[in-house]
Amino acid sequence: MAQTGAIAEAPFTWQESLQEALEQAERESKLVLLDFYSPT
Amino acid sequence: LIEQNTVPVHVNAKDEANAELAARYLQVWTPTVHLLLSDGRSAHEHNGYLPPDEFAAELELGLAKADLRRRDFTAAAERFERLRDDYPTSHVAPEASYWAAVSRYNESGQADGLMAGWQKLRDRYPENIWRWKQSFYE
Repeated sequence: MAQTGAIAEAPFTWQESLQEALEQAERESKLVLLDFYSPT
Repeated sequence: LIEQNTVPVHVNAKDEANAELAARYLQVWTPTVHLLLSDGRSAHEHNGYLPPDEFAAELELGLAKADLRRRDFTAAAERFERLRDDYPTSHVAPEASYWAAVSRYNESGQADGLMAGWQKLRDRYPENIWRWKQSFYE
């Protein structure tokens, strides 16, 4: 299983940079969802 | 649910370029999902595959735990209670019931809310491990 259930088919754009994601999360009062996966 | 509450980051755990990041989060097995506070600390971790409904419930649990760890007890209590009531048969419902009571206690400082919440936990999930976690009080 490469990814996590519902996430695998999710239609949104993934952030590539954790630092940018953390900064965006701070601005938007969100959390960062960090998904470690293994490619199939 | 994901887009409304999180900024998602995808990390290939097998890519050597991500080795430092994997080490920072003690990464061992995939899939692993963390919910991070904006300072990078992990407020919740989940390992392993889940079907969509259970994954949604797990994510709701993580969002509530993040509120709790940030000591926003009112927001945490409301999220845990909504999770407990909206996903009553999910794997996280007993845990949500436990933490809902703890959040109400931290919010008010009154033991009544804690006891009432844990009574619901005992009534609904008498054989669950989260019932045993409050059994010292029984």
